[in-house]
Amino acid sequence: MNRLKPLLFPFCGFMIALFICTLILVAAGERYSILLESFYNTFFTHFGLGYALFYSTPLVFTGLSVAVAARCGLFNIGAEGQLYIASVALTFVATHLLLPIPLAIPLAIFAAMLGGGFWGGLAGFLKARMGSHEVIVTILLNFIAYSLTDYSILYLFRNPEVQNPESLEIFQSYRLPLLSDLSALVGLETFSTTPVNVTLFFAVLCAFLVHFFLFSTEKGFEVRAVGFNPKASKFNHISVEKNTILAFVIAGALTAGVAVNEIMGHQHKLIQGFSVEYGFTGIAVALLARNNPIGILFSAFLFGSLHNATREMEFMSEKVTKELSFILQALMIGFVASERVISEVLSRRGKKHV
Amino acid sequence: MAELIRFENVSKTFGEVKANHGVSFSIHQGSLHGIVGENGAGKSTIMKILYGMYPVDSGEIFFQGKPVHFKSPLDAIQRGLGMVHQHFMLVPTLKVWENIVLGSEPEGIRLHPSEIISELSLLQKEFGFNLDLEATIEDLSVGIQQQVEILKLLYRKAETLILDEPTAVLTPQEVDSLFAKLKTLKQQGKTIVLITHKLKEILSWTEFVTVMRHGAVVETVETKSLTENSLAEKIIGRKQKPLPKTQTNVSDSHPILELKNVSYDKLKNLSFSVKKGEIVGIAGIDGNGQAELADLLAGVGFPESGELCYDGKTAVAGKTLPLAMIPPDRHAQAAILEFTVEENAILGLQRSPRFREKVLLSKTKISDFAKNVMEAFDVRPRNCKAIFSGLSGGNQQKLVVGRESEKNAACLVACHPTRGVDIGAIEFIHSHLISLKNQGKGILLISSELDEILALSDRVIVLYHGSVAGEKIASEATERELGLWMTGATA
Repeated sequence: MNRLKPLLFPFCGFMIALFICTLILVAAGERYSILLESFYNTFFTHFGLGYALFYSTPLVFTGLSVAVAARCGLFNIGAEGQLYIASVALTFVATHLLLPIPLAIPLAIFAAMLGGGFWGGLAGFLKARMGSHEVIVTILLNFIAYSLTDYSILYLFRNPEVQNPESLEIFQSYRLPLLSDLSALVGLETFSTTPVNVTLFFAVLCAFLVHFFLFSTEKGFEVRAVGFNPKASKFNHISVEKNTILAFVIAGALTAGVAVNEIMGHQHKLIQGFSVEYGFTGIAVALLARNNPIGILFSAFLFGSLHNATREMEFMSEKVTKELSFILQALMIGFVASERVISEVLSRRGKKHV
Repeated sequence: MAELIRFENVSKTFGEVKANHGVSFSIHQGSLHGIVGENGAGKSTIMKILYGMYPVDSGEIFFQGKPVHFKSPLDAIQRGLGMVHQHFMLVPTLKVWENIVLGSEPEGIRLHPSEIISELSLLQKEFGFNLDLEATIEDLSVGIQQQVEILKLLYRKAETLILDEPTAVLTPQEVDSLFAKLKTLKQQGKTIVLITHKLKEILSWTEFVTVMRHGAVVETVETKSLTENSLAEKIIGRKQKPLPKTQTNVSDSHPILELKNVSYDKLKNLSFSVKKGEIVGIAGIDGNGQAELADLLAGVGFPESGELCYDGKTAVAGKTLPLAMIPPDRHAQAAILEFTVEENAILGLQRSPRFREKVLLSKTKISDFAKNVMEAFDVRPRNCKAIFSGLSGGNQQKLVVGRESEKNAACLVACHPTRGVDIGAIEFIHSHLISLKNQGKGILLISSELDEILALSDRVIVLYHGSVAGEKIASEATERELGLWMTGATA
């Protein structure tokens, strides 16, 4: 029972949110069961779950990116820009170098990490050496990244055969298998036609790697030390500058996963503006998980499945508009995140009875 | 004298910690009553219970003969009690008079500053204060801010003043004027309760003293009947250990640390050396370059001119000296409060291969190391997974001293090693420094406690405005002479 306690409060919050959201939907003239139906579809159908996992995957990477920076006392608002630079680097390699699979895939992932890491490292460098505040630097670097991406799509590897601004298709050897294809190999039918792909496994792996990095390596120890107390770190011969840059390089490199998921796993090309603010949602994902890498897996799944559930409702009914679906998502997350309030209310009740 | 407050069997538990158990004692009307004990002995807790900040678990409090249960400080204030906390509760950007009336402004929609100021001026006259009511708090010294806190209580018609460690942040001059003020207040009929761990203050100013240890009252006695030794024994519950004998054969050893005409920030042309097997004390009033000296030796700064030598080699910029250091500010520099005890135990040692299992840090090796340090340096509670900020100041400091000793460096720089630390820990740290010296290590002791410097050092150097004002063999130095050097007289 005690082990389940940390999950109990978010669950209570979720149930309260379900109730309030249902009231809102009924007030909007919807049938009372629509919310439950959409959640049923999300969690218990191959199609819904597949999409929920697909949406969750990039959020794991951006959540980890924000969390690593936060552990070093830095606010990374630049995950959005970093993931675009990673995408450009990946696309460049994957549309120019025709290589066999065992070389192609690691090389492309490495290129993406290099791109993202470079863009993150740039922010870290400016913070560490020039003293510019990382929030301003990363916001500005985002704008530069958007423009560089647009330039690359239009002039470096544009696909001339389509009207939309998008890149050439990447070579076959760079494409990652979908989970539905993999399960078909062993004769199972899962995740129907959804784009969830093996990047999901990379995401889980990365969460554990980041956890090991932070809590079981000397570098991670130093990053956390700087995050809590830069002055004490200096007195104990831990370089604040080096660790600031390191944390930002890692944060940037982690966003490469978003590019891998989208380009190698799903679209097979770089489309202008493909990221639906994954970088910014990552901030909320990391906050909800209190920068705990393993917690980020759960919080990213919450965001991903909510995104899918409300999207389903938009399909099912015309009364649920995009705006309403945002309100519902916000309520859900708000209630799950307010576990501290709920636990406080409960503990106060408990005291009164004594 | 009539009894004003009586505690009967008051107990309070926080989680598993018994902060107070079975506390019983009385405070007399119009007396200056001291409450003394080591850090974590429950002194502040019992007063916070009285003040309505914590509810009691069991027991009774009598105020003017009647049982009371203050639900909040507001309750207590209305009955004439007032408390000055260790950390002041003032708004730095507001003016003195604004801070004084804050929370108990006169009735009505508009404030009338001129009326309030003239009322406060009368109050100042009555109690002999002389504060500039129009000054902004952040521009004032700590001593003056404390007076504002006291005046604030008098404005609320407090008859009983509780002061929690009032002298922790004051200079010696400010301490004197504080006690002079308290004495006049007492003569005007106020009751004053003084929470402190400084024996001298208790002995020279209070009439009664309640000694607390481990959450319980040891005894309440008239101060007259006590000496410094007997009071210290009551506080720590045993006789004080004498410092271990020192061996002095310094003269033939060569310097481990040497500064030659070093200038850096506040430091000007500073030269001195520390030999192996020697303790060199740096005395002086805070702010005369001690912090800069610590920065320099920690490698946070580098000499602007002059030479810094360690073990015969001149220091190079960007390379830290392999010395051990107890930094001056425990919370900001020595440790990371949010880390666990074991993480703090390896802070600065994290790159050492002894904590590694292949490439990863080994949790068991770290825990074993931390447990050993905690055992050897008596850090309590013996829980290496506890969050560091939860330890008392003395235990935090013992862990830092333990960690630095584990570095096994030939030189230890100890900056204010016993600041804010209780008697038991002071004793422990002092004898540890002596034993390091006897092992042949060079020790630089920077401290603003002259007693400490004189008791431990072989040589004393007085720092004034970043330079050496005078130097003397400790056994030949007098407090008077050093005191003169500290204020700028030259040798």
